[in-house]
Amino acid sequence: LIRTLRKSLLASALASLTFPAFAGEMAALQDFRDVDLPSIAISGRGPFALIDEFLSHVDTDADAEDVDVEVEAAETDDGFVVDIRLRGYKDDSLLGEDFRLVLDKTDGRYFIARAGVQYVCARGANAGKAQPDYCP
Amino acid sequence: LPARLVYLSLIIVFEGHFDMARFSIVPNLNFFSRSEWVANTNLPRLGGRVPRQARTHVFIHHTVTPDSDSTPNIWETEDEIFQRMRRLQVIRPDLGLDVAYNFVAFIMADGALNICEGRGEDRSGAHTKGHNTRAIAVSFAGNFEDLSVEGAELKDKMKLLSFFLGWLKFDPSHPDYGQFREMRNLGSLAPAGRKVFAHSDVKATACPGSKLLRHLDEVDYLDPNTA
Repeated sequence: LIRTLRKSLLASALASLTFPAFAGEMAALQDFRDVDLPSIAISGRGPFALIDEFLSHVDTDADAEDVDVEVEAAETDDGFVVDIRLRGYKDDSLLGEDFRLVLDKTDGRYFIARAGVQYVCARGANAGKAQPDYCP
Repeated sequence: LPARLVYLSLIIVFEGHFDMARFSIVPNLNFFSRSEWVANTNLPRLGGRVPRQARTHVFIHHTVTPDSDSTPNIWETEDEIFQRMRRLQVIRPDLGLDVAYNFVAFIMADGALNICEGRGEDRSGAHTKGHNTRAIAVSFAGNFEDLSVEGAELKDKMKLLSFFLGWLKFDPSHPDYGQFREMRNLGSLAPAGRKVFAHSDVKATACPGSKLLRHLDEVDYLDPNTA
């Protein structure tokens, strides 16, 4: 799966990467559900390596299935805020997930300071809308 | 040297389903093929071919398509469930125009568990992201999170489900259905404390609903021949 993701990730990342200044890092993860990060902090030389590492941490599915990946990064004073939108899930409950990573830079390396997720449900009252509650 | 003739006898296993098939695996556990529930034949069975030995685990879902009467998770007639199956063929076009699950289970008012063939034993599904090939999905028709399960006698239904999964694992054949290979590796992958996965074990979902979830530790792979 990660190999598949990597391919599409790079393609779509190149296509959609933008660097607007992100207003208000503190508010970046409002309405997102916290994602547990490994006890050893993920760190990398560049944001892209970090995004790849992050996806392999949160996505441990048994079967390799194609997923549409869109990445958008906004520069902040300390690093980046990265939005990763996964869509096209072959799943009866979820259409996709939105991850938001707050990347900080220390000593020339980026690390994920915080991460959050929103779910896009396929059914129920919130269908089609990214939100932090579990899907029905 | 005299020529030696080697006769090879080929055992040909018939692997096509009989068109119409409804039968009981054990008493109160009934199976209905696609033809039996009159699948819309303009919408072909979807999914890639999956070898039976590649099936390692089972996912339990709910459809979130409840009945509109006072017993939303209990179904009264065959016509009603067949209509639901045809609805499931078209309910999620983004997943393809077919039932997303391998099988759909209906809890019947007469105490039976009716299993309707979705994509069936040999095709991948579109039910659980990342597990659509190696897993078999059985989805219970209804909503087992928000709606009442009064009268559903879920403990009994888990036993019947166990015979169905055992039928798949040990000998998924029947004179009215055909002769098929078993899924011998089914159940080799399982979560801690259970023999089958809930959708919520791997994804951010309430599926298959808390009322069903609390019974999933009763599910096993039971050989119908021991019933």
